Amino acid sequence: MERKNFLRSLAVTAISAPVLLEACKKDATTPGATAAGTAAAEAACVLTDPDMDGPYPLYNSRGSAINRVNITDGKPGVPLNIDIKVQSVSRGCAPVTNARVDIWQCDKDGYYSGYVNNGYLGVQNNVGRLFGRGLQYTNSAGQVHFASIYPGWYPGRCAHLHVQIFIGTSLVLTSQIAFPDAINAAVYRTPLYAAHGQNPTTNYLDSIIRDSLATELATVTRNTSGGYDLTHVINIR
Amino acid sequence: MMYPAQITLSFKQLINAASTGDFETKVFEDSYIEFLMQSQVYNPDRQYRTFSELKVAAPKSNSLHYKVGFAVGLHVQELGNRIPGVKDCLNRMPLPFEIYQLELIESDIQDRQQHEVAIIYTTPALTLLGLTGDRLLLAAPEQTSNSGAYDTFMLSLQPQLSVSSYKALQHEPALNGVAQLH
Repeated sequence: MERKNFLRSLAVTAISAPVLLEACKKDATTPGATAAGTAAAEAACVLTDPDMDGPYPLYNSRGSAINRVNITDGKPGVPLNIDIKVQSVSRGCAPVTNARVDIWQCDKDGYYSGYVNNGYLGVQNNVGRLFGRGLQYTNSAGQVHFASIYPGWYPGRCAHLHVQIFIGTSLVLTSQIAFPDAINAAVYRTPLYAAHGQNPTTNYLDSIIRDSLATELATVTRNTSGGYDLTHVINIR
Repeated sequence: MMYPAQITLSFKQLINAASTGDFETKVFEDSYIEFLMQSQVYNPDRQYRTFSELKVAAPKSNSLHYKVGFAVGLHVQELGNRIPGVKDCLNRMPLPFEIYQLELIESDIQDRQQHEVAIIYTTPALTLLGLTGDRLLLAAPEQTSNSGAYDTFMLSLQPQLSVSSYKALQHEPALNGVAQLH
């Protein structure tokens, strides 16, 4: 236990003491209940520890439909392996473990899941659909992996992924990840993407991302399976 | 309303701090924490306390309905496509659902007791054969008879149940006795 947590636990004890004493009076015939109450109070202190790197112990996205590695939901596209590493600048770029990494992206035609959106193929009602969305918790090396497809594009934006990093229940970063223009052009010439043609909005022409390319441009390389591997490092405080 | 017709039904289940049951508790807890997490995008300085306030100040926060909905997807999946608490008039057959949607009714970043969500379950297409009193007469999803008669079930109308789509069927099916209900 770190010093401030120790002090905090003392404070909780001090505040709780009169309550516990009162409880002792009421439960004088059931000493076990007092012990259980004390244990519960201590457990509560541990569970709410804000210094923990990992997810809030009461919540690990256990019921989330997007807590998964493969985010394609069968959508066609050029396979894309996504490997993201989260580091802490304040700890000398040490890997951050148990950070929750949420990503979301459009499909090969530029449509997102989750809501009604308009694109070059017309209006699509994607309410209730989950494709292109996932979350994972970083491992001891600060890394998460997703299996996806290369995203398409929609007017005004370059190809990109959205990403959010949570530590515990705190949102520490909302960001985007861009792809090299040359690779975008190559992918958009392939059969599954050719119908939509080339994206006129390159990274430099994208007003949202052009001033952030130094930290938001991923490394993307062709792999031997006919897909691409994306690696990207995200530095948080 | 014309019969027969193809309809879908939607049922709205309210879940709040007073809800009991394993499923309801999981949905309440997880949707509240996910709301706390996801709402930070639109409320970084925590200046808006309730979801109602947040929607006015940041209309894009309406995306929280589906973003929070993702967080309970596996819990809903465990229901096995059966709407909780809704059965036919014989209390034997649960009403099936095909899709669901989570709606944030209200929440409060400082007081979880104010958190309330609804899950709206929508059935697959059902054949409505008639309406008798406050009960819908529906063709059963699985037909077992070769006699020309339909297997049917009846469902009571209730406050949280609504017909969410309706399409009159053009051709009168050979319903035998059931057709007399028109």
